[in-house]
Amino acid sequence: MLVSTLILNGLVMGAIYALIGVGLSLIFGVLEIVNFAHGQIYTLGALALALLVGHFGFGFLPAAFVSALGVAAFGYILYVLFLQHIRKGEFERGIILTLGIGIVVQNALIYFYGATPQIVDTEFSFRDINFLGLRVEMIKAIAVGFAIVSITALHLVLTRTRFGMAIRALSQNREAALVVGMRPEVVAGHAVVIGTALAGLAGAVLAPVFTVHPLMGAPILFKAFAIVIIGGLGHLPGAVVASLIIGVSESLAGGLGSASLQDAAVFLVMIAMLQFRPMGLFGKGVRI
Amino acid sequence: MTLQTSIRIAAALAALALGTQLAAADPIVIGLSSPQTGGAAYLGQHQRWGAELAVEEINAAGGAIGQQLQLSVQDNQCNPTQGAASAEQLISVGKVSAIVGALCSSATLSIMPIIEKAQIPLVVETSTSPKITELAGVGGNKWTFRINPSDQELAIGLARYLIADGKIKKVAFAGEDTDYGRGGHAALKAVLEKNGVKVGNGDFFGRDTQDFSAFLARMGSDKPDAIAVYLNGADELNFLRQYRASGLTIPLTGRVEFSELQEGVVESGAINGATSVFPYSEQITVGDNTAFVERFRKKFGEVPNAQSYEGYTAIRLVADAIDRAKSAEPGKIRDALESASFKATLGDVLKFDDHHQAHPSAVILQIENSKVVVKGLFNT
Repeated sequence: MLVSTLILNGLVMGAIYALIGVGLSLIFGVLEIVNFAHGQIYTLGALALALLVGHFGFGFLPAAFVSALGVAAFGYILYVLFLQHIRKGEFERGIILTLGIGIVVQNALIYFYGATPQIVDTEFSFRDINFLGLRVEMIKAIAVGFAIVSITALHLVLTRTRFGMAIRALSQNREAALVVGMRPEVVAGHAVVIGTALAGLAGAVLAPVFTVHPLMGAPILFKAFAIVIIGGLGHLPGAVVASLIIGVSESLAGGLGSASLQDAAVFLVMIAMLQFRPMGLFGKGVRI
Repeated sequence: MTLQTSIRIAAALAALALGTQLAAADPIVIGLSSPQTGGAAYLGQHQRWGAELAVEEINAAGGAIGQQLQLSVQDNQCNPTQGAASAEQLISVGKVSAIVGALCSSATLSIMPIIEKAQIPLVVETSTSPKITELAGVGGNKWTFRINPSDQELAIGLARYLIADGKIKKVAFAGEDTDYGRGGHAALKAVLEKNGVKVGNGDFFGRDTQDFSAFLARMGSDKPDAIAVYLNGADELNFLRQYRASGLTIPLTGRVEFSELQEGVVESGAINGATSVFPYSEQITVGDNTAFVERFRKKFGEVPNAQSYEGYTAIRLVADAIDRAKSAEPGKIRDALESASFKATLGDVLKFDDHHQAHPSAVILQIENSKVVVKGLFNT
């Protein structure tokens, strides 16, 4: 019973990690930028939801939708102002720039919002559903629903539409994409919007599960990096599988072992992966 | 005397008077090492607010030895490395006369050797690790003074209450993976096990842990009689939020803070039966606490918690020492602190023992019918 509860908890958390990991992976795949501001973008989603639900009386579902849209708009502004000016090969510049953006966003949030953590209660909070005889919080089940729908939608867009093909083309061969007349800056802008929207959505759906405060993004960022590395840099299905592996490993380590082991689990898996499959589970260079 | 000479003398006198006035206007700088970012930032914010209120009130009443006080705050991020850096900064750049801090035990322990070397008094106001008392005072760090009870003293008070209650035989432990959490675990284990209550090995969570669901699932399976919680700030709130969602009914105990932040969880009834030991509660009505709570709420819009109360008290204590020493010289402030007999807001008189540990009262709180009830004050 304990083991099944832990596995189910792990899959639920893994599905939510996937939202963050897939966004990070997508941005890396297209722009070759490791987005160190991704944790703060996730935080923005959570704070937006806290504001919409707590102060404007929104329901959880519309608030999550509006938060993701708002964060996507913010992502687009970031792209236009900063990210699109990073040229190919300026890998370090991308890291320093996004790290700086993350720090500025985090401190701006502390300045305007304060450091006080907040609990967000929604109409779905503290209600349970029964899944195969196991108890699952309804709010977490809804979060998983969001993750499944948005990642499936992204997969369909990437594989079935011209827009998605353009993103994939750019991530696979930038020069060839230019030769056939694609405009990389437009395609990359779309990728950033989708990637940040997913992170914002993850923050929004996790806001009622965890406490919300401006510093909540930092710890999850490292987990997201580990997911992207385990899944294979820039590989979206890899990020999803890695997220589920991380979620379940953490849950089993914490439930059957100890809290310290739970913290270490994600990085132990990452180290093992780097040792035996340095390109990650599905990594064959950069591809989507 | 020619007119020219008169003017020269007048100018010299004016310059002298102005100089004296400028010297008098030089503020006395008190340093505050506080977590302003990171998971404990909320607590740091309250500690800072408490200190700011004290400085404002002291200055409005004419300052200390006729000089205004000025607070210089450095962020220690609640970790030892930044703790040490914050003290270096306050001493070398801030030119402080005394330091208050550092809220987190690990940061305080890293600051202690630095202030000892620089010979600047440190008033510890919230850190509870018993190690601080062991290292301070006789045979150790003569520049460190602590005004709040250590976890050892708090654990003794809590253990007495739990043992008298008689319902608890097995306690699980969830603590922060710092000197605070580990020190709390050691202190509680030592006192409870002497009285036949078994305390588990403890689960220690890194700061900023968000997901406690695996630990709570294990608790649901292990079924201890109580879970002792030694977390703080956002982490503690996260724990309580997830505890509530887990539907567990195992009573919580330890150092659970029942301040304004946790109001929603308390009101939900999910932690009914929880007990906690704390150096302060805004619900205490003894001394001048009611008026203090009101002044604090008016200025900051929130009720004070233990951090704000202790930050406030520490600054007032330092100002009292400056007044009695008639000097803002660090060595003289230290000597004055050693002989302090300072009446705090709760009515306790703070005096330091030979390990520079004061013994204020602490409070046992319990949640009954979704309300925080003060079960009693005890002397530490």
